[in-house]
Amino acid sequence: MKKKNHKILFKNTIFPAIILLAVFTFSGKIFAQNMQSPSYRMQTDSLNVGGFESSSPLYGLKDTLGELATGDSNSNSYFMKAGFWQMQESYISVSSPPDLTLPNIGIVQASSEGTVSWTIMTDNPAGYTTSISASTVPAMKSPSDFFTDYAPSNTDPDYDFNIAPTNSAFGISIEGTEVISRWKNNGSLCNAGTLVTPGKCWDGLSTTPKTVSGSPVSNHPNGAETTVRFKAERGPNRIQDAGVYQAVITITAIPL
Amino acid sequence: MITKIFSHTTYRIFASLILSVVFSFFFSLPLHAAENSINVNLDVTSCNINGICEPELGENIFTCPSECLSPTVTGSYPVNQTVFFRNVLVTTFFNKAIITWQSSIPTLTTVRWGKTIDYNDGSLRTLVYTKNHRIEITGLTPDTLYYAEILSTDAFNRSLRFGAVPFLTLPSAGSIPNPTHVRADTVRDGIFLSWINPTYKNFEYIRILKNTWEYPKDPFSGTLVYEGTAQSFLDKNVEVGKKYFYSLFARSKEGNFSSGVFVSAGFVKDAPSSGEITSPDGTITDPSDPDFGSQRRRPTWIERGDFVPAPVSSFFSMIWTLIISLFTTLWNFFKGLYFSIISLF
Repeated sequence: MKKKNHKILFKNTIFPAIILLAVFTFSGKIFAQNMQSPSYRMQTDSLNVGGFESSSPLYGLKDTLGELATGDSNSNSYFMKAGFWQMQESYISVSSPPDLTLPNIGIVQASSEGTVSWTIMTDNPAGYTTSISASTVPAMKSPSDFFTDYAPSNTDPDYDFNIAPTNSAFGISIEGTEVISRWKNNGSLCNAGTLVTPGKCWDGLSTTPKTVSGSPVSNHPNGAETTVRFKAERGPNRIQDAGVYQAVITITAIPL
Repeated sequence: MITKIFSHTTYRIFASLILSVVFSFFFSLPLHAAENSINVNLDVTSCNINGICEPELGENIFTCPSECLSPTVTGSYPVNQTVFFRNVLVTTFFNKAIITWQSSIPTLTTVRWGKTIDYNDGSLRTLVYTKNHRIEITGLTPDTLYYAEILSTDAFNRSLRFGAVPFLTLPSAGSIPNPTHVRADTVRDGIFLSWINPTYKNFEYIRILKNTWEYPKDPFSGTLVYEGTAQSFLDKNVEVGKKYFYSLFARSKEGNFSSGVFVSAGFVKDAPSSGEITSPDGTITDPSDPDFGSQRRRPTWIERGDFVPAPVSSFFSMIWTLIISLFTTLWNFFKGLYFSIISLF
């Protein structure tokens, strides 16, 4: 009877446990490798017995149960942070420039330009993209009047800022070393060529983010500056209400 | 019992493993985006709503419609017709210039002028679209080179700039002196003007012009009332209760005019007879006077209004002179007061 119980115990419990242990032992080689598709790449993953992200209003906790050989270690030349979560410590940052006050538009002065630069920095190996959006439609408004969002003649930005004499508009042009091709030009057309010319290639703002710059690789530790040139212009026959106009602009940098 | 416990534990471990893998895939990789927002501020100023259309500040029908009149376009023309000028003509005067020209299509015009091509001396702007343009620039300095620039804009906001247009005002009158001792007296028949011609070897004649609202600014504005070498003139073409402004210019044989002398007078009833007034040199200038052109033997009024007494003994002469002087002073005082009151109306 006792022998029979031992057999049952081995068959129902010990044997599956041995199988599972074997699975655990070799799971790292089976799952813990970088996976990717044409669109995405799994930077790191972990196969263990437990773990989760949990948070309260004040604290957040990221834990993994079952990792071996974790912790910090260092030599004279290197510092190592071993463990799944520590590998996730990529960062992305966006600088915080001051607000922009454009030169006044008066009866004689019909247009006004100004620039703001953001520095985007990330050590994410897959890089980042930056987009820009406005909080309202149209973006530049006063309590009584507005500048319409600049509308290019086609889907690409206009090489020059052109508005009808009876219209007024507010638009942007992008400059920088990591500007995407849509804002580059070939001397006469935008979304063509490799030139980044200040004051060329104009588009309007929207509440839907528009991509302005990006990189497929990390730009750590120097980062890259993206400069947005804002322009408001009143057509000669446009009666623009006097007042204080304001646009709230948001830059969003997303790691890839 | 033990078997069940072990078996149950194994399945729990296995389930935990599956959950760990699933959550690792879904929650471990994404990084959070970084964001920054700024305000872009802009002040827009418009017309100053002071009730005056001020083109020099940029106010026009488009920027300041409440203060600037609506331009009227006469006729029609093809959109693709270009703007061009023809017959640009500058007529210069002593201290003004008139620029006339024609444009191919109706335009609004701004003319700026100055002694340099910065055109800093002034500007004029029209508010009516027209093809025939005439701009009168006044207040210029004689014998001075000016430059003008014409900027025309059509209804489609196409503009044409023309200039610099140089022009030279008439030679300075400084080379010939003005007439002196100029005065205007109201007499029964009109307004009597008198003066002394300049002692200038190339003096040719005196030119007198008049207006009823301001002094003629140059020898070519106002109504011409006299040209000649006499030293007085009776203007009979006057109306009771009106004030007249006269400008007297001396002209040289070279064609230059003097800078001008200005005098005014009001015409009233019951003024003294012209026979009691003589020119400064005593010549009778009223053609209706039988002594026209001759020297009056006993002039009553001469230059500065001094009265010339008759010869009497020295004592009575002194008394007489005092009485007459008092009378003259009172007469001049009340006469001045009277004309001052008249001029107010």
